[in-house]
Amino acid sequence: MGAASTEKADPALFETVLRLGDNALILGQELSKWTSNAPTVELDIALANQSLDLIGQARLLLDYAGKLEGRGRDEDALAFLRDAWDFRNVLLVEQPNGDFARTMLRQFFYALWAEAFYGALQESSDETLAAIAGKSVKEMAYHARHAGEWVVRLGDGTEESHRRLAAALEELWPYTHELFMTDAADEAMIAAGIIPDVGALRPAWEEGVAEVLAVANLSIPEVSWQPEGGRRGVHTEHLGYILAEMQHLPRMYPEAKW
Amino acid sequence: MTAERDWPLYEVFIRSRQGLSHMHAGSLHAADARMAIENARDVYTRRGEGTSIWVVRSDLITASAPEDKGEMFDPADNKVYRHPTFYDVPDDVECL
Amino acid sequence: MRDQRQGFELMMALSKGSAEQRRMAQDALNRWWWPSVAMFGPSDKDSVHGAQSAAWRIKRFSNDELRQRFIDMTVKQAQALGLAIPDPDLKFNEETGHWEIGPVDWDEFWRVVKGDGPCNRQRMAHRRRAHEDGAWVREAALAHAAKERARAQKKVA
Repeated sequence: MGAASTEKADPALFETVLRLGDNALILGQELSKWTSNAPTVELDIALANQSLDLIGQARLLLDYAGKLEGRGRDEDALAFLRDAWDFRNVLLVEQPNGDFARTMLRQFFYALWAEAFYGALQESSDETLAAIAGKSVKEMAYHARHAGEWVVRLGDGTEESHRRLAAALEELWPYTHELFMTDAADEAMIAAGIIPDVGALRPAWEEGVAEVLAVANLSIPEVSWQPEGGRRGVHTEHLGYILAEMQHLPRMYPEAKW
Repeated sequence: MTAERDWPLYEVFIRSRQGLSHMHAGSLHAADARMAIENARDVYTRRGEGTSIWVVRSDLITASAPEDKGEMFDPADNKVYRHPTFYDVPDDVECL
Repeated sequence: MRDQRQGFELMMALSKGSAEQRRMAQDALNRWWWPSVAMFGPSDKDSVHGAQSAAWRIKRFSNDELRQRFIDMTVKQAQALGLAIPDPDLKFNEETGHWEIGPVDWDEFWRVVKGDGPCNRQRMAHRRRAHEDGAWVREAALAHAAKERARAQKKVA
């Protein structure tokens, strides 16, 4: 059933897959900064594992994207040799870790979305995407559960943890809208059955979020901003610093193979 | 600096995919039992070793004392009737 | 075992790579050779607990035995990778069949073990900071667990 993965260049599908791969790559990279800095050794291991999951997803997606582009760029070339304006991740994933409350809330928002997205992507008419989705949905289900439980612990913990979580919610909530935005390119892919309609995923996501926030004694903030642009290469300054650290070594030694 | 309450210590037992019993995998800290299970998954099943995880708060375990070795663990080598090889059975009896 | 293979694979990628990568590999070996050799602990004749540990059977091989094993293995691996061991006194003893090394700086070893030096200070400061910064998180988890228990008890009552 459905179209097999294409062997020839497909610029439109390339852009679509790049968006997914960049989300995983940038989030994995940023999350990994908790290594050796987490509140407990158990959390250190948990977050490092989750970073590895995300980077693993990025590898699969960027590898596929490189083939779709058909210009000879592999996963490494895409990860390490593009500048910020060529990255297609949502702005949410490039927001800094901040304190543990900010990180957990960001993870929760993204993972809940990714679990739903990959869940639906398993039905993609593109075989490769469906396969990647099958592997990734299990990982994201665990990330969502882990982060959701921490949001509850922090919201329903001490006065300090609640205060920090409330501040994180004020800051991060506006960035969640971009997860559900679609443009003409998306519409075409949705019509072709290649990616799911994120609009249709929104109500369940909002319900999941509301459930957790209720137990955490928080409510959706009254903020009307809806920053976007990441998916078309218009990024916040945070991405520049992430790339500078991530890309330094390969850029310094462009001929080297590792 | 005020003394901070620590997360209690839990012992972790894991039964692997092919295994028949839970084996002691190690210990970790968690705020409660549910977190201990998840921490155990993160810390001790990184390579897919587990199917079933048990966690027990370490202070709930009663253990024998090393000094008891003598009377508690005297080997049964000189109690031959406790070993199956003591008993003579004909070779041609099935299912034995 | 797996870490050893991963490490060797990394060193192999560097050694078979560009001139800069080979330089990185050699630089790493230059930095880590002596600390690695010293890591096996003081020589058996100077080891305080060695004899006791052997008697209690919690230590099966002496420091020197393990150190010699490591040296013999690593010299072979370095040769395979085309890297030089940073020891002008390194030589093969035909009679014993082992590689002999030059003198280890045991003063440096004891200073490190006793926590003297900037790396130790940085490492401890990092550990303390991570632990202190995380206090509110650990507290929150305990507070939440206590609230859950209280709620569960109320339900039963």
